Amino acid sequence: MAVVTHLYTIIVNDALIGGIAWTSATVNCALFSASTFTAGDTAYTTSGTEVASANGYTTAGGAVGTRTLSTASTTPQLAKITGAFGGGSAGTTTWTATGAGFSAVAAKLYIVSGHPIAHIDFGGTQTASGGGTFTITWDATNGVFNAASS
Amino acid sequence: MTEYLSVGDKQYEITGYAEDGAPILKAQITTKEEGFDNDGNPIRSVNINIPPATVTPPVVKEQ
Repeated sequence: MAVVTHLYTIIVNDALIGGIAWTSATVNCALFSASTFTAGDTAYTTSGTEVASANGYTTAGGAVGTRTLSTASTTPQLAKITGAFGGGSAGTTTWTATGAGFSAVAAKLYIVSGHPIAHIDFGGTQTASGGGTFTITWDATNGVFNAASS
Repeated sequence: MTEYLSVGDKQYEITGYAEDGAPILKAQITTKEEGFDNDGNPIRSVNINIPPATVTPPVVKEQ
């Protein structure tokens, strides 16, 4: 089983035209029960089916909190999530699944009232239930994504 | 022969390649079951460690 993260084309374009503020925008993480990556999507809801609001999950997901970016002279540029959603430790996004819980096959990061950033395919269905937690741990060393100069 | 992708100070095992050529990195998913709640639902937790987005090697123009 593999976890694959893809960046949306629109967010790369946004970066080049100065339309994304990684550290200051409100970035949410949403869970999807069915989804494939479509590079050209311009809204996080365009492709797939978001997990319904029930049993501990609310549609639109949660705000991931604090994000950081490397200093301007550093390569590669590391875009990290260091905040916490759902009461977990730094750099995690967590939902507590009540009752029958919920299942997800992918997560999407997106700017609220803006464009999708990344699609994260879990490689299979993941389920939490009965008061257990559904936790996404972001890479504390290399970030959610990074870009190197040449 | 196992391939690895090095990013920063971490190495990720490459398990294959997606249609667009992006390497598929080895999963880091852990699940845990700890009995049942009062309604009989399994108390199930999952933790998904997210590897960074694939880094496209920078293009170097030949002089």
